[in-house]
Amino acid sequence: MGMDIDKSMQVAFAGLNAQGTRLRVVAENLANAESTAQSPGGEPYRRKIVTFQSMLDKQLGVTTVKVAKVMPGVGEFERRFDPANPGADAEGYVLMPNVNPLLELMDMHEAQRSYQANLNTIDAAKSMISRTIDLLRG
Amino acid sequence: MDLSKIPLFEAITKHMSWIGERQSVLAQNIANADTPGYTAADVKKLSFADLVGGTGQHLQMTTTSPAHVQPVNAAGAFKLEPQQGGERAPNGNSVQLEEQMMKLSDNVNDYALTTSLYRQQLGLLKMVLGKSSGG
Repeated sequence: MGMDIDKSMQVAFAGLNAQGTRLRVVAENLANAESTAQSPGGEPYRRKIVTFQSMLDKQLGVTTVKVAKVMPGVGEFERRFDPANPGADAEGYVLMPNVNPLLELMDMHEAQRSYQANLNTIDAAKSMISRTIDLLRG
Repeated sequence: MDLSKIPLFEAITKHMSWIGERQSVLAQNIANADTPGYTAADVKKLSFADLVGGTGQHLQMTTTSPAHVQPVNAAGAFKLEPQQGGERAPNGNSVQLEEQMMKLSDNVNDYALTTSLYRQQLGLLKMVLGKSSGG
C-alpha cells in the first residue's frame, strides 16, 4: 500500500517534469518572438511545440508521462517592412518569427494549471503517508 | 499477534491498499492530463463481498524459481475501469482535472477515515489488554 502511494508520487514527479519542459519551451518561444534572420534569405526563429506521450514505466508498473518530442511549429512567417534590418530582402521586407504571444500565454497558463494539479497529487500522497505514520503513535 | 487474522483489520487493510492503488491511478490520470488520446481510468469500487470474502480462498500460483513470472492479474489485485463516455478534448484526451482533483480529495478523506477506524480498533484491543488507549 505504501508502495502505491510512493508510485503515485513518482508519476506526479514525471508530470511535473513534463510540464516544466513545456514551460521552458514557451519561454524560449516568447524570448525569441523578435529573432529575425541574420542575412537575407535566412529563416527567422521558428516556434517550437511540445508533445506529450504516456509511457509505461516497467519498473513501477504504472503509466507515467514524458515529453515525446519538441517539434517545430508550422505557420507562416509574417513579412514586415524594415529596410534597415540586415535580414531584409531586396524589397526591404524581413521575415518575422511565427510566434503568437497570445497563443504562448495560453499554453503557459495551461502548463501552470497542470503543474499545480500534479503538485496537489504530491500533497495528497504526503498527507496519506503521514496518516500512516500516525498509526504508529497508537 | 497477527492483526490481519482479525476480520475487521483485514477488511481495513484491504480498503487501505485499495485507496493506495486508486491514488496511483489518479496520479497517472493527472500526469497525463495533456497527453493526446489518453483515456482516464479509475479503480473498480470494492464491494461488501470483496471486503468480507478475504484473500484466503483464492488459489495462488506457486513460484519455485526467481525467474518465474507472476500472473499479471494476481489474486488481490484491483480491477481498473476506463472512463466511459464523458467529454473529450480535441486531442482525444478524456481527463478532466476538476473531476480528478475531486476524486483525489475524496481519496485522501477516505484514507483519513480508514486510518482513524484502525486506530479506534487498536484502542479497543488495548483497552481489553489493560493498557491505556492513549487516545
